[in-house]
Amino acid sequence: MEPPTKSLIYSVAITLWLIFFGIEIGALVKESAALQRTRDQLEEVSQALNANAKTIAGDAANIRAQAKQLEFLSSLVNLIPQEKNFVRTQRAIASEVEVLRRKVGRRLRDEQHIVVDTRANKLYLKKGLALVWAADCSVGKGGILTDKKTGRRWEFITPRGRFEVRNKIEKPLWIKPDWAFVETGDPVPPPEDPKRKAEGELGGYVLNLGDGYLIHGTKTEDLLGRPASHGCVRLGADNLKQLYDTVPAGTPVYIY
Amino acid sequence: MHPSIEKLSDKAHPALCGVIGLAVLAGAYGMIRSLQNRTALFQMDLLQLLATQEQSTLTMNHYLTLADLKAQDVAQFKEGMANLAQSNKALFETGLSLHEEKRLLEKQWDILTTYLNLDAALQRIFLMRGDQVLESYFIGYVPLKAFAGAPAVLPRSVRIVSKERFAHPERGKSEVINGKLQWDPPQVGSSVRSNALGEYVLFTNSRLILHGPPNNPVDHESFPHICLGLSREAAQNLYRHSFIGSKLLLPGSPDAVMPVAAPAEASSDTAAAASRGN
Repeated sequence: MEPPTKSLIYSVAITLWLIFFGIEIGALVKESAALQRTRDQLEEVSQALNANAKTIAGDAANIRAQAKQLEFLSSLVNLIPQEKNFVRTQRAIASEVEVLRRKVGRRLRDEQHIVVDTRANKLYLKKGLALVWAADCSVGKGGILTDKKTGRRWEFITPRGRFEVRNKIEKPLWIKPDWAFVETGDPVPPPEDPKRKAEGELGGYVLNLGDGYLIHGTKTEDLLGRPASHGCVRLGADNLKQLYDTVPAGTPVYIY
Repeated sequence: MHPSIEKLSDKAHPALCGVIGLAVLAGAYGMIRSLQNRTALFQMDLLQLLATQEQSTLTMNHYLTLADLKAQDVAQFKEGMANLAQSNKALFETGLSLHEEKRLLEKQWDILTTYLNLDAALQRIFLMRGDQVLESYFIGYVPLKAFAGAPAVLPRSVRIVSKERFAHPERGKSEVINGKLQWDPPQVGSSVRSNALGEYVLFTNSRLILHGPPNNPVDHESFPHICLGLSREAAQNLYRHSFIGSKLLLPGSPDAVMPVAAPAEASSDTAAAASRGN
C-alpha cells in the first residue's frame, strides 16, 4: 500500500476511534453522574426513613404514656364508687323534709328566730324556714363540778327548749358565780366582792336568755365548734355583733 | 498529515493498533455497562426505599392521628372526671344540707310539740309528742299536794320555765360584823331549797315544781310549792325528755290540789327559800 494511502487510512481510523472513545467517555461521565444522583437520593430517602422511624417511636411512647395515664385516672374514678341508691334516698329525705317544712312552717309563721344545735355546736339565724346565716358556737361542755367544801354540785349543760331574748347588753360585766371560783380552786368571795367582777370575759355583747343563760362572746375563739362553755352559748366576736345588731329583744331561741 | 501519525503508520503494525484500539473501546464500553448496571441496582434500591418511605410516612401519620386521639381521650376523660367530681360534690353537699335541715326541723318540731299531760284518774303523768304518748310515770300525790301554804289552785295549763339538775342552794347572805364582812357560802346540807327539791327539778310558771325525792322530807314539806310526788326515775326522765317552754296540762277539778300545812319543825330559812323559788 502506498504511504499516503496508508497514512490516510490510519488518520481515518484514529479519528473514528477517537470519536467512539469520546462518545464512550461521555457516556461514562453521564452514567457516573446518574449513579451519584441515585446515591444521593438513596442517602436522602434513608435519612427521611430514619426520621420517620424516630417520630413513630416517639408517638408510640407518647400513646403508651397516655394509655397509662388513662388507666391511672380510671382507677381514681373507681376509688370513689357511686352509691346507686344515694339519689333515691335523697329524694325520699327531700319529701320528708317537705312535710316537716309545712308542719313547722305553720307554727313558726315566718318569724325570725335563733336555733342552737347543741350536738353540732352551731347557731342558726332563721326567718321562718329560710336560713339567714349560720355560725359555729360553743355550748355546755357537760360534766359535774362538786365543791368539796360545801357539797354543792353544778352540771354544765345547755338546757334544751324554747327561750327568748329577754334583753341585750353592750359591754357586759360578768359577775362571777360561785362555781367559777370552785372550778379554779380559789376561795369563794362574798356576793358583793370586787373579785367577782370580770370585764371583757363575755365579749362585747350579751343576749340574755333568762335563768342565767346567755349568748355571749369568748376569749378562746379557737374552741368554737366544740362544747366548751358552762351552759351559755358562746359565739365569735364578729358573729356576736351581727346577731346583736340583727335580732331584737323577744326573738325566740330554740335550743336542742 | 500529522508527522506522528505518519511515524505510527510507519512503525506500528496495523492489526495490533486495531486490536488495541478495539480493546480500549471495548474496555470503556464494559465500564459503561458496569456503571449502568450499578446505577440500575441503585435505582431499584431507591425505588424500594421510596416505597418503604411512603409506607413509613403512612404509618407515621397513623401514629400521629392515634396520638392526637389519645390526647383528646385523656383531655376529655380529665374534663369528665372534673365534671363527675363537681357533680358528686354538689350531690353530696345537697344531701348534707338536706340532712342538716331535716335534723333542725325534726328537733324544732319536737320542741314545739312535746308537752306533759297529767291524768289524776290514772295517777300518771304522760310525756306526749303531738297525740302520741312517749312515756308515762306514776305520780305519788293524787290529789296534788300544796305544801307550806302554797295556794292550792292551779291553772289548766302551766309551762316549764327552768330546770336544775341539782336544786341550787340559795346564796348565803353576807353581813358586816365589827367592820368585817362575814360571808359563808351556802352549804348543801343546810339549804332548805336544796334539801327540799333534791335532783332533777323542773320549775313551772306556777307554784307547781316537778322534782325527784327530796333530800330531807321535813324541809320538803316546809318549802312552799305544789308537788306531784315523783320517783327519782320519773323526775330524771321528765327532766331529760322535756324542754324549757314545754306545757303541762292539768286536770281542772277543784279538788285536784290538797293543801298540806308546813310542819312545825320546819327550818328557819323557809321564808327566804320560798322567796327565791325561781
